[in-house]
Formats: sequence, structure tokens, C-alpha cells
Amino acid sequence: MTAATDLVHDLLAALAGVPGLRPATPVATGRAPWGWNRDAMAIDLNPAVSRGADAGHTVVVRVVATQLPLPPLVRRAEQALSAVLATSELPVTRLRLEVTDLDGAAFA
Amino acid sequence: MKNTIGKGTSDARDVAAGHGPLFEHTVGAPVVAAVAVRAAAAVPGVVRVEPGLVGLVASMVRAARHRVTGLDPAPIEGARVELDRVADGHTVRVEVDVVISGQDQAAAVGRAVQRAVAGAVTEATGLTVAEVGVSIIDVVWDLDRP
Repeated sequence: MTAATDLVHDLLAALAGVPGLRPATPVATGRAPWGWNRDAMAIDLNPAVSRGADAGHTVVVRVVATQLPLPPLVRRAEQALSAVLATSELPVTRLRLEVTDLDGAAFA
Repeated sequence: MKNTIGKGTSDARDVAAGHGPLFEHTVGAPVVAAVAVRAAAAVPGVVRVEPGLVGLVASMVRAARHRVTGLDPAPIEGARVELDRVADGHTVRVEVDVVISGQDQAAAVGRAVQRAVAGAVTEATGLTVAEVGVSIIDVVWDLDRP
């Protein structure tokens, strides 16, 4: 596994520990029959365009909220994801959390 | 409807000081719209939030896409959300289409919807609401009739 793959795996594990947020995947969740984790599609690792990968990566994490209010969820996610990035082999300069949609369970 | 609404939570000084990566988060327009629809529908005098034909079609597409992922998306039809960039961040403008009861004063119901939507969006998302527009699409005089 590459450092990027490891990082995505670790970020997903950290996100799983934040109740109220789940990865925003464009297709069915869970593991595909061949073992590919579709949740990984909710995370993008983008090297800095102008200065190359050595200058650091931008991590984009897309999530769907299943609880409200958002501010405490965002803070928890920031702490959990930042803890992973602090120990990452890849240099990450920017972390972006996108709350793309809201599940009906948030109003239950 | 814009897809995302930005709101930063840390600044570049944190990175320079070695406090980890610059963190920012965005809230999607569907999130704001869902909160707005829910708040508007709960206002006394509002019979329903009116999705319109375009809203119904968009609703079907969105629901189908989300059911594949095991989600039951919160309704957003009947609300439109736009982002305004201001000096210290972003604010949102929300427009809601409602059908009200003929037994209530339209202006009073409209003001109540504005207050309810603005309060709910700010509380649920942390975003600042600059404006809530309420369009009364129809008035229902006999609530017993379908």
C-alpha cells in the first residue's frame, strides 16, 4: 500500500469515529465484492498544483450529515482528521471538509 | 442553487505556527435548503412548502441517487439557497415557496417563516443568514378538502 492509500484508510477510520457524519460516496456504501472500499471515493488527495507534491497536499473529505447541528460535528471531525494528518508521511497543508448533504435521520 | 457554501474555521497563521494543516469546511446548499424547508413547514399557518414542477423532478433524481447509497435524504424542494461573499466570510440567502391557510394573516405567516428559517439555519449550520424571501404560492381556504 502507498502512503496515500494508507492515509485515506486512516482518515476513513477516523471519520467512522465521528457520529453524525458519514462519507459521501457516489455509489453504494460498504465494501465491494472484490474488497475495494468505495468510501475512499469520498476523499481526494490533491498535490499543490503550482509547487508540486513536495509542497504539500490538499485533503478534501466529503461527508453527509446524519445529525444536527453541524458546528460541533465539524469541530469533532476537524480534531479527528487533523490527528491523522499529524502522523501522516504525506505533507498536508490544507484540510477541507465538505458537508454535501443532509440525511432525513437528522430530523428524527 | 450553488452546491457549496464556504466557511473557514482556521487561518494561515495556524499553519505557519505549526498547528497543522489549514482547515476549512463548506456546507452544501442542500443542507441549508433541508433545514429551511423543515423550519418553514413547522410554522403555524403554513399548509405545505411548495416544491414546484422543477423541484419535484429534482427531488426524484436526488432521492434515487441517495437510496442507492442507503440514505433517505431530507426534503429540500421548495427552498432555494444562494451564497453571498462578504468581507468576513459568507452569508446565505434563502427563498422559500409556501402554501398557507386562508384562516391566517398572510403577512404574519410570512414574517414567522422568515424568523423560523433564519433561526433554524443559523442554529443548525452556523452560517449567517442575510435574507429570507418568502413567496406565498397559494392560499388554502378549506383545509379539509384535498
